[in-house]
Amino acid sequence: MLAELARDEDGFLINRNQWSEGVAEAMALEDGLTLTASHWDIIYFMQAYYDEFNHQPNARLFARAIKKKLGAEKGASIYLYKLFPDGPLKYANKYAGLPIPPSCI
Amino acid sequence: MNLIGTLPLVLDVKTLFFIINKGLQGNVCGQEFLDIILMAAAFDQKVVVLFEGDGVNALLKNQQPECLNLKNMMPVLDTLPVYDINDVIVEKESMEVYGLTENELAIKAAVVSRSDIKKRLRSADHLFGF
Amino acid sequence: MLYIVNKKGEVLKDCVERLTSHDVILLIEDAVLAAVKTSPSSVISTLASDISVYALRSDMKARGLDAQRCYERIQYVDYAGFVELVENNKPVRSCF
Repeated sequence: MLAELARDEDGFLINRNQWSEGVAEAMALEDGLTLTASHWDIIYFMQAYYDEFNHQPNARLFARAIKKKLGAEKGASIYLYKLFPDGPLKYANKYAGLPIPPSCI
Repeated sequence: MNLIGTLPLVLDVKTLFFIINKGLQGNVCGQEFLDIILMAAAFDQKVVVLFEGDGVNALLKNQQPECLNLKNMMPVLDTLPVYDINDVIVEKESMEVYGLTENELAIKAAVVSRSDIKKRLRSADHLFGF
Repeated sequence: MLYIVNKKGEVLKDCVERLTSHDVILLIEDAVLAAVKTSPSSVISTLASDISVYALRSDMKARGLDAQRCYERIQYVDYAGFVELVENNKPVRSCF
């Protein structure tokens, strides 16, 4: 499934039109992660934020925006890192089919 | 010496005024300045954003910087409420100079006179410009 | 309130329009040229008498400007004086 998709060197989708929940799950599995409902909350949030504001926040703003929308518990760094151990901002964007955020290197 | 004991555990909350008095498109400073504003709010500071002088034009609707391959700042300004930045003010006199009315502004902002702005500036902890 | 200005012309004019009683203005960098009496469109002569006007001495010196050519109301500060102005006239607005 993933082999047919155009992706950049970090594995981010080049074309968001190719995104589906199945693609997100496959990309996560490839990174050794099984997506749960808690992951999906963050992923959907990421997509909605991007669609509304056409802007990608940095890590601190990202946590802040989640806190405002989904509650303080989910905006806590420790919670986000438990979900996405290699970096919540980068990987939430990746599984959301969005570009790599400018603040991620 | 117990250094930890001398460090404040919580940042002091200060009132920070961010003054936009020129266009946001001229150079990368405008974009960086907006990032600083959002970050200040993310660190729980009391943030006030003031548009005055030429800067009032940064609030115009229908800006299309994409035609010059420049980043559109309006989406970033739209995120201000997400970070609880609701204190956005525009100088009345500058609006008049450019013949602008409140309904020509792309985001919600309070129109305040120069003299009332001055009173607020005096009570601020720090003023930032770019 | 202290206004620090680094350019004459429109930047200085925008700043001067917003001065109120007992404000302090410090001219630095190219704005020190506004201290010169013969400087075109200098707004210094229009300022109310309760506005204190300072110029940074090293920026004057770097440009070969002499106090004799400047308005008598201008006071001169070195860097220590700059810091004192900041301490005594908060908040500070930089007009760049």
